[in-house]
Amino acid sequence: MIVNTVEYLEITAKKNPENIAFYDEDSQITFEQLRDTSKRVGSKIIQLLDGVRNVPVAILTDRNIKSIISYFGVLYSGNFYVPINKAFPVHRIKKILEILNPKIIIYLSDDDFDVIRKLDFEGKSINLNNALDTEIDEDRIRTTVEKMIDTDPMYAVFTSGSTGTPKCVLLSHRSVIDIVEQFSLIFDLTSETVFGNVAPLDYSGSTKDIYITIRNGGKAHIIPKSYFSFPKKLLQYLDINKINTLNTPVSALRILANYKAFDTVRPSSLSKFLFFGELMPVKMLNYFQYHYPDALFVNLYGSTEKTCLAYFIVNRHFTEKESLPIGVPFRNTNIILLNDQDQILENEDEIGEICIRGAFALGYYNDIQSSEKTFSRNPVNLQYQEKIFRTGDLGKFNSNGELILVSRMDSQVKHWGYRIELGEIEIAVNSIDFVDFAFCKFDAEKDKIVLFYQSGFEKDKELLVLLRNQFPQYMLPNQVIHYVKFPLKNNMKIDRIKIWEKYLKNLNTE
Amino acid sequence: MEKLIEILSSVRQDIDFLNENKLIDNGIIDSFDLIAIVGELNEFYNVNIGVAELNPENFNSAQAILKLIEELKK
Repeated sequence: MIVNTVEYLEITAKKNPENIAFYDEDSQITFEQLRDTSKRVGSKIIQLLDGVRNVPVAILTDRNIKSIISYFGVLYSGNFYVPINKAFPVHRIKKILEILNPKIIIYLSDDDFDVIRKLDFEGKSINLNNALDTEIDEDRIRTTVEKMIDTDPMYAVFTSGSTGTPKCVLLSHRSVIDIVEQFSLIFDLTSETVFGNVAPLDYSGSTKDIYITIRNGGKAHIIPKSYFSFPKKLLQYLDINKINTLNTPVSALRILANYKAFDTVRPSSLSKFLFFGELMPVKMLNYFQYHYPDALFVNLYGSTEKTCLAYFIVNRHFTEKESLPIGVPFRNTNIILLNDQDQILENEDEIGEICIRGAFALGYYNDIQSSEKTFSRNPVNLQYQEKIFRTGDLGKFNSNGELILVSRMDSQVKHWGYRIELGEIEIAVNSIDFVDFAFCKFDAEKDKIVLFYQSGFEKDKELLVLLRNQFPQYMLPNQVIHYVKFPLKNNMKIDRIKIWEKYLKNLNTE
Repeated sequence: MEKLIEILSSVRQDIDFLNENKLIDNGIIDSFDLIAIVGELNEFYNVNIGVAELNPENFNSAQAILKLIEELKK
């Protein structure tokens, strides 16, 4: 029985040492090389922390193999890694570090030291290139790995938080092993699987690409970022590298569908499409199925807190008016629907919150209060302590017993495949001195975040520059609308409905 | 040209589109920006920028984008 994800690498590196595991823009690495380089990094971390375990190690990531080496380096040291996109604004990285308070940050290239310098970081920063010169301390690595249990934290990911600060979701080895085993089995992923990695490496979606590849001794290509702007180049890349499996956010597939890219280049090896992040419109699915009538299409449903909960293998034709089910739970995961009285709903078409029993996240790091709300006691089990994960999504079962996603219970939205709390943007805008009041709405049809603000003067540009310093690109409002005075309702509250209707009307008259 | 700069600036207000000539090569605009820009261009100029036109050379500068639009308009 596998109890930690390091064992996957140990086993595969012994079995197929010289097989290539990962490719990036300018390098490649075998399983054996990955194991040995990671052990060097692990030995360095063990030295610096003097054997302390289960603490966070931050990594300034990029789309490259070095990121993966540093992930495994941290795992070999008995700690958990926290990928932080190095392109994030300094302000946001600082906020993240405040919550995390790591003793170590790893950076991957000499240039990235510029970022480190701006962070006023008091701990130790490690340049990966130097760490790779460390001699492997086999004894300490072995005793460290021996002590690991499957509920130890493995990695943490920051997502948007409604209280104005980013939220740190902490995942255990067990959650990853769970998903890797189920995926390999159900979707028949093997040593023949060649992933095209699309999801950012600082994002939970890519965990599958990395660890399924290592478990099965397959291959994964980390597709260079620049290719995503140019569908033709991207498809040629998939074709040349004989990529057969895409585990991808719907937002990336949308680009290919919008440009009808497959009409020009059709990579011949593609045979499996696993998509997640948001619901795929049937129209888009039909486009892919037209070009790949025999491929496997799987609608994955999950969240950062439980990488994947449920899946639907597309097994019938859908009309554009229907929506794809999110299907059935993975083995070792149970779904229960609870109404607002915390009662279980069992009848067809009854809508309730999707709640989970299974290997979900350990909680939100350094945030006991939100953790207790989201990972609460199972209200229908009074006999013993059992935790459930409340997803905040509303769902129902259809007549086939398949789960259908209905909506969100809060103001969390999915934009370009990222999950965003509109509240976090609102809090930031409302703290700007020239803004009287502001709120956000999500235009789902256009996939746009629209920000309305009241201020004596129009200052769209200043506003956006301030936000750009605080938020990653995907959290920035796509449209900013200024009011000198918001219309009010009788009770003197801001008439958001009227403002929104005006926005929609203006769109139509354009 | 003026109108084009205005459109480009509506997507990214912080970039000097008039003088920048390595928008793609230097990673100044990313894939999200590019999608937004192409959407705006298609709508405003009533053109259809397709896969064939989507290559780095056509989007490195406002000048190049303008040339592309003029060609598509023909």
